[in-house]
Amino acid sequence: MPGKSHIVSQQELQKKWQERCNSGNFSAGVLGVGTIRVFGRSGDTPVTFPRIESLAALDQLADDERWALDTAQEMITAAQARQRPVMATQPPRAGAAPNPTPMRTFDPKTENILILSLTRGG
Amino acid sequence: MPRSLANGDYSLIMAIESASRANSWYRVLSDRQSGNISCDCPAWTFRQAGGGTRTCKHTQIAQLLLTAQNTAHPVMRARGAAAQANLLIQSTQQQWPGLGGRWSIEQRTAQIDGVPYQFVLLGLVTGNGTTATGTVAFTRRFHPTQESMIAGVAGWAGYALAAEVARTAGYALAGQPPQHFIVTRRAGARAGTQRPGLSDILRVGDQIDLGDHYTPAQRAENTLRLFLGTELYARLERQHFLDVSSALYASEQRVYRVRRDPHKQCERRVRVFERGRYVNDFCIVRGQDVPEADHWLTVFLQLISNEAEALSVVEEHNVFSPHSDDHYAREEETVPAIWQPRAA
Repeated sequence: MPGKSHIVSQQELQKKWQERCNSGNFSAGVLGVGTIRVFGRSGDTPVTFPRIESLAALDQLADDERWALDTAQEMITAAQARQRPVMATQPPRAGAAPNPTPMRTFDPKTENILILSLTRGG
Repeated sequence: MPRSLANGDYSLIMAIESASRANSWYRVLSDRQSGNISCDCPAWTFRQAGGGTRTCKHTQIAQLLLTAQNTAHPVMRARGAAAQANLLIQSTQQQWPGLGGRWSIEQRTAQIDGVPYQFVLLGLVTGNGTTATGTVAFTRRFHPTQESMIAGVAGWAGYALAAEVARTAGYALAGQPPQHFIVTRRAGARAGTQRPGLSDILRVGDQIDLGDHYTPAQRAENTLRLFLGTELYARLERQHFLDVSSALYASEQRVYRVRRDPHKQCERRVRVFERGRYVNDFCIVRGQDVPEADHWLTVFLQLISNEAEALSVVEEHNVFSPHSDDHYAREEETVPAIWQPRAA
């Protein structure tokens, strides 16, 4: 099948990013690791990305970090295109109610993003 | 540029699920130049013997289905209004909103090497007369219900239709198809882990085995517990509902009672209270294949943060009178629904 060299390259970046997450050895501009949970048949697949102050800080990232961030951004774009609800939310502290905020554009500072599932009238 | 389905060098005849691995897809493709039929499966990929036509069981069934030798048993066929009301067509339209025209659907059953399969054929005739078809073959034991076939039909058949419509409109590039099985000779490499294209990047959420030893339902339940917090989750477990005060209908003091099936299987209708009185049921169901906990959390978070969007799926015919889903085993409300002001 065509396009295999491209596939290998993506796999290497993915592997490098996973290794970096395990080691915690991030570039200077990285605030921490953010997580997108994609609701689907898997019952939420977590996808991680490097949190940065703004997309202007992209230049400070390594290839695999930029790849992970691009992937996260593409996911949000794809979710918007598919009319999937996207929320930025935090696990609530004791005594507090959940406070989800709809996400219209990808904010690379966000810690937890949920790509919720589609609903319809029944 | 390498030749590929995404580049428009091939047309997708059928996506066919592996008999042994759920949601692992082989693509039966037709080369637009030569007309030759190929498949992604290992049998076709490694069958290099010269002479004769290179085939596998998938290309053979695809050819049978395309010809008068079609032996698959028809189980359902719909056109016109009946097709428009079909769940699989509605889901495909939702995923590919640009596809418009006269839709049709046909379902057939057949066995491939003794394994029962269900074939779903979508047809679309566009306003300018373009006829496009998309076929998906599901392994019956992995996809026994219509709901379980939604993602496969909308993803694969929708892609085939969109690619054909795009091609006849003069666009050679059809975009990235959904994730499919790839034979790889790299030691330790796993098939299908390439970065997916924009159109199917969200299918990352459809991989059942994430290597974490959890079932999809367990993962979804963990997410629900995490994002509700310990207290709210305990309350939900105890009373099987949580209330959300409306910001849009503050003057009616509307409260949504988002109920949960104690068995954590089915959707339950959202009870609507106004000024403390139970007035309606809203029926909001899953629009894609997700565990029940994911659906419940989606409805709950949307009603909190984006009420208008949450309600946008509720049309007149989705609104029912009270106790519409517990008419016989009537479940009376004992906890008052008390509206509390919220910012709109």
